[in-house]
Amino acid sequence: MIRKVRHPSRQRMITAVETGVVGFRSHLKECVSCRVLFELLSKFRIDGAEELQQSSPRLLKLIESIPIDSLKECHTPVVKGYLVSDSWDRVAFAQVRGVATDLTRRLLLKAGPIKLELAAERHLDKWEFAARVYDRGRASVKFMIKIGGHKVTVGPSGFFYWSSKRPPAKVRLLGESHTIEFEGLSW
Amino acid sequence: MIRTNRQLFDEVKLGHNWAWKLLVARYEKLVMSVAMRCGLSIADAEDCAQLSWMALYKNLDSIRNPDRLGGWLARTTRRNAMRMVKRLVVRGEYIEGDGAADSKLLLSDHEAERLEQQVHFEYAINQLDDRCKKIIRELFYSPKGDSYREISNRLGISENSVGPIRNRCLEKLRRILKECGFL
Repeated sequence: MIRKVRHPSRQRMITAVETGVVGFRSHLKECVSCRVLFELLSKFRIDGAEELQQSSPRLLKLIESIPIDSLKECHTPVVKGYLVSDSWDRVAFAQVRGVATDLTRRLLLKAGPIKLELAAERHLDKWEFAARVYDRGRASVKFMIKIGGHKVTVGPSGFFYWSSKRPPAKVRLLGESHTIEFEGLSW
Repeated sequence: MIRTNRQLFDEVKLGHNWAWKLLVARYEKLVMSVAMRCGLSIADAEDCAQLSWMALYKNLDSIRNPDRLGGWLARTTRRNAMRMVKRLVVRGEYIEGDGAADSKLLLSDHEAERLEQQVHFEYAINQLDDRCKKIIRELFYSPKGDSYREISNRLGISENSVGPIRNRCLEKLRRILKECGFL
């Protein structure tokens, strides 16, 4: 026999959000749709909200005409990049007890259309690095890499190579018009 | 492709106009609504909004957390609006705004936050296809009853389809909100 499910109404959910008394917890466990609805109603308190005021086309035109492209020339802005992927985050298929974990690490970092591929290799007394910069998917040689006070220029192969005793917590890409910072790298 | 505020912000800092336009599209209603609810008339609110966007342009390098850009814009606009209201009152030129229901010149943090949430939510709804937009609006905004029969009558779809469509649309909406960094 098919059991007819009774979903809690929106008003009941809103009351539950406001009072903190949720009388339909068991239903939420079973019903994904109501769980999502309840989550959204809890986060976005839009019930009874007035309509938002739209800007006039004249104002929008004015704001959109603020010369953003002049940022390229005015100063050297610092753009924060972020980590896209990290080989150390991937789960190894199997590991032998007592054997050191992966000695190499591959990072992909990104800021807008610029990507930095960074490979690091751990040795007994130092770390060795190889990196490549891409601009809109194509290898780019327009940047310099800065780690601490040390600048690395691109080699003829298009790669950057350097080594250091410790791995960097921050990598900077120095370009003609802007600097990109990748901060908070942990090793 | 949906981008987070942080991603758009990086593009803007690189001087890309298209990213600026997307940020403006995301938050123009928030800025105008905050200005209006601080008691400004439409014309004054537009001047105030212009000041806020210029402030953003000038402070691009000092904003540390672009994920909270909505909050930054709301606070900046509120500050600008209150300065404008004071100036207008001193000059005797203050005309109570169309948006100020009870001529209170303060918009609380809580109200500003709710406006920001509303803007994020509406932005996400607008990324949905037409059918999902309709069903989500019914779910969240319709003052009428929200039984499947009533919804199916209003949207002209069979009652049996309401449940599965509602599930799919809610999931899509949730995904968009996550991708934008709003959830």
